[in-house]
Amino acid sequence: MGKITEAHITGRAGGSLTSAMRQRRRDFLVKAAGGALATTALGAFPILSRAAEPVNIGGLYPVTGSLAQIGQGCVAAAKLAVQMVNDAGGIKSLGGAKLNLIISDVQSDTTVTRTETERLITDYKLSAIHGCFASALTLIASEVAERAKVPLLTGSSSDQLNKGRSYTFTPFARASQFAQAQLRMSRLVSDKPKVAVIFENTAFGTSTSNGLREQAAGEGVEIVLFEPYSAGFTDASPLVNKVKASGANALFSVSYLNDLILIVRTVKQVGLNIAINGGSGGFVIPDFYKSVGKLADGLQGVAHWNHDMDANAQKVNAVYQKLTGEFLFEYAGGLVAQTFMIADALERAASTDPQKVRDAIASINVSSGYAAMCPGGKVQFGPDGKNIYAHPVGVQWQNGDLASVFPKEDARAPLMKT
Amino acid sequence: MILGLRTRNVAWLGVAVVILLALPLVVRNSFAINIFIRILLFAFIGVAWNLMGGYAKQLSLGHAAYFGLGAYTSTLLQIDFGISPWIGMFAGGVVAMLASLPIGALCFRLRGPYFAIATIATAQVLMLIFLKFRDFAWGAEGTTIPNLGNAPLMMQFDAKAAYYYIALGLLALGLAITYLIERSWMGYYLVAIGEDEDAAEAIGVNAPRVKRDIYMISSFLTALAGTFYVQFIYFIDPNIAFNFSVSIEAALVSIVGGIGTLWGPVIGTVLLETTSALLQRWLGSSFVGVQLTVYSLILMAVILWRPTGLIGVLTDACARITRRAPARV
Amino acid sequence: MLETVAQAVVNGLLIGGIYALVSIGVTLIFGVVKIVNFAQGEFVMLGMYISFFLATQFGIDPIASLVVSMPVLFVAGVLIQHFLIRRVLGLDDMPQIFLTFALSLLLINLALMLFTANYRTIHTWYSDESLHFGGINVPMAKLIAFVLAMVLSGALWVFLHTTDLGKAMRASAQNREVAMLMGINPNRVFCIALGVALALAGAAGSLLMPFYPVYPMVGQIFVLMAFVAVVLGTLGNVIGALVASLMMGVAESLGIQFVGADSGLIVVFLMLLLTLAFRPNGLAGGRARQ
Repeated sequence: MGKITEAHITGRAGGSLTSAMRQRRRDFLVKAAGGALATTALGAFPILSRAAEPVNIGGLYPVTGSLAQIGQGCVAAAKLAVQMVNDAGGIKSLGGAKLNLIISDVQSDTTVTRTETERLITDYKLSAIHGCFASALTLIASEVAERAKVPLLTGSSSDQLNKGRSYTFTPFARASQFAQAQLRMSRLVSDKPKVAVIFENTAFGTSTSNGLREQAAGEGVEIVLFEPYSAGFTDASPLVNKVKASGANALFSVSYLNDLILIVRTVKQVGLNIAINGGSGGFVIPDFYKSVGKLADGLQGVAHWNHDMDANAQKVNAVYQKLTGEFLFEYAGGLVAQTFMIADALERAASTDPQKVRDAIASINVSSGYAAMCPGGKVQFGPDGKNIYAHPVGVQWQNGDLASVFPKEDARAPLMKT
Repeated sequence: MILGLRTRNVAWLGVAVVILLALPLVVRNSFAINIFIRILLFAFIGVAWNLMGGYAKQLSLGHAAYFGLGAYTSTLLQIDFGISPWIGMFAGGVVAMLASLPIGALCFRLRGPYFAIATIATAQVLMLIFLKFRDFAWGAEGTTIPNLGNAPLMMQFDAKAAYYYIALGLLALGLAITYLIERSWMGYYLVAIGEDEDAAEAIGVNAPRVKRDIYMISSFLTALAGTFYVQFIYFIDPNIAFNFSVSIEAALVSIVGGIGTLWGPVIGTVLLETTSALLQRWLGSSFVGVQLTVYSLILMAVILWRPTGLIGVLTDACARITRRAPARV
Repeated sequence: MLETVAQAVVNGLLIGGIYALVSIGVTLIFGVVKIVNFAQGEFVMLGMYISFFLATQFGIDPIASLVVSMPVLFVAGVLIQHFLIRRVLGLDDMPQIFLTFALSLLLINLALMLFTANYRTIHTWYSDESLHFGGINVPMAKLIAFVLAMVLSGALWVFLHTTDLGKAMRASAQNREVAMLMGINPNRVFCIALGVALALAGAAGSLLMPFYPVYPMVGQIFVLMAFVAVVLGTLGNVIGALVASLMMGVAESLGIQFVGADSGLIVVFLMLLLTLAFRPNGLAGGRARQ
């Protein structure tokens, strides 16, 4: 239950007044049997054979459910990252201990996230965790980790994750920063940007769009339309109609993939000539290009990580691409860096104790290697768990690939004119 | 005879209670405890649903509305006014009860599947409202509850067992209420309405009033579950609070277990949750959609083969095992 | 301003045509077989996947694939009626509701297992093309879908009112016992009803494919609209369902345009709740509550 959307989620009463006593006894037997069955079945799950050495870290991702596409990519990247760490010799200060990645599928479901996070922490004595992509799931995992005093790294952009916690660390850009980057990118296209902002009305859309609204004036951008919409609509025409009527010359759409596809195609159908900035989320994954094809070329977005950022990123991308056939997308690449940050912390802590690892993460200061694979190339956390160097990178679809184009320091390809 | 029950059955019940109370002390595995908590909680929600959907055959698929109202009420009271969720839980129940009045007035005009659709719509509308109005309840982003560590008076505990006992208590409450209603005049009225509402009215049952009353009770209980849930997962947002799957599971466990019976929802929950946990263990992430495929097959099998629910199967099986002397007239 | 309204109305009508195909199926099943098919949306999804695979594997245009999707779904309907639904007829609501509900769950999750959750789209030459009338923009794919939806609805109406089988169906809908006395075999009629309804759903799917992505849960949105339209249009009334669907499409579109883009659903639900409050028998009225 509590599915981030879905689910999919989703007799006669004769005899109800017969002797309740008889029913009670029989049904107690069943209940007890059921309970016993559950316990023994659970006890039968494989006991991890642990040598003294491997360090357990947890990865919580929605491998099934509505967020499955992204979750599966994340898991592939997580496994790759751990392999890379281990191939490089593991954690040398712990005698070459290997990282052992425990993956759990949070099924795009909040209750499952809650119980799985806890299960991983208690059963596997995790030293650190990373996950969960979706804001709501990450918030729950972060609450559990906070109470269990285990450090959690995440690329999730929700600003709530930096409030009142000491075990959650966010190496990448926050929702408010995405907003600022988007606003600045609109100035690339026009001197007097008049922006129509449409956003899906759940956590992802509202937090990003709030950031847009708050900072627009300061960036010299006029917002002419600010419209939440219900994700999963059947027809983007009314929405696009509104955009057209607003006289905007740029469209910011904060959406998940399905809606983005419809919006982009409808804009083309309507013949609306407008620059689209698709933000992050569903916009910066390979599936987007697969779904809209050439229409995507020239569209801009923002990401907290991109595969052309530096040589290391390109290296990882090449390997991932061989493995999965697609380029390494934002969230997945980010979590590779996070794995290396955890490894770095383990090295310095020389211990698997989560408290010591947490302190080591809090004092991290890297500017090279895979752990520093982020825009700006540096990681150092402030007291609220934010990376003080984090900022997003503006990207653009160019010939089926995502190129970093903004800001100047992070641009790896020229802006394609549309 | 004790309390009108045969001594032997009270003894069995006593044993069951002792085992249930001792369970978290014996079983230390936190995952197992979480499963038990889930089972207890969803059995409770199923029992609450069953009062209306099972006995009176008012098949609501929108009980998530009350779940969500309970969850939001206690969270609002806690975060905005510092009021303990224990009180907030009760307040949430009252809010849900009050909400059930206009909703019932509207939806009871329809029968059968169209009643169900209308109830789905009400839960959806509530979700949309809570998504849209950011100012009064955090909107789409939701909120976490403040981290108070171990604060029993604020319904937050370090010990997993505490949540288990609360869930157990809720389930016991639900079962007790169902038991009392079953035996009262209201119980008879409910079944009469469930069998044939028009006939019931013809013999003088005030159907609208009975339906209204049971809806109030059912929604009150469901709201309690909502509060517990927020305290358990530390987070709430409109999508979680008013999620359709809550409504579905409430109905599902009752139907599979035994609609309109005291223990039906419990049996259904044990079966479905255990299946779910096992499937996750064995197949886990390798197969998308397997779990629900199995659920739906179980549901279809039950409906085609034993529409009254599996409790009938068990009752028959036990009858064969324990042959009783026929009652003397 | 007028142009905006006109555009919104046109948008609403176009998508309303699709809603109509789905809701006509639901109301037909309800009228004749007297059950609510909660799985109707999933048959739309199946129609979409059929067209998707025909398009990507064999290059067949979705409109052309109607000749495949409709018969396939017709047969599916007959089988489902004969083997599943027949067994719960005569029982009360609960098994009937939950049987089709379980079917819906099953189909969604089978699709998830077989096709994964990924969104699939196809491109046809007319997918992104538009016609322009005055200032009004009419996407070609949607126009084709609308026209064909109306044609199919018209064909259904003709079938129901001129052919013997159609009349038999209407007779069964009005009074099953008397129809049986007249020599009409109920099961046969029900099989045809299910078959036709599912074929319409499949058609809706094929027509959607040029401009809408398919994924396992796609049916859910459409079925929700369909149910509201069926209630609005009076249960069992085919023309009612058609008109109500168009109305709802327009209401949703106007709601999005003038109230807020997240209000589309609220407007629709409000329409439903208001109808329940003031005209519980639907706009066409007259039909006794079940």
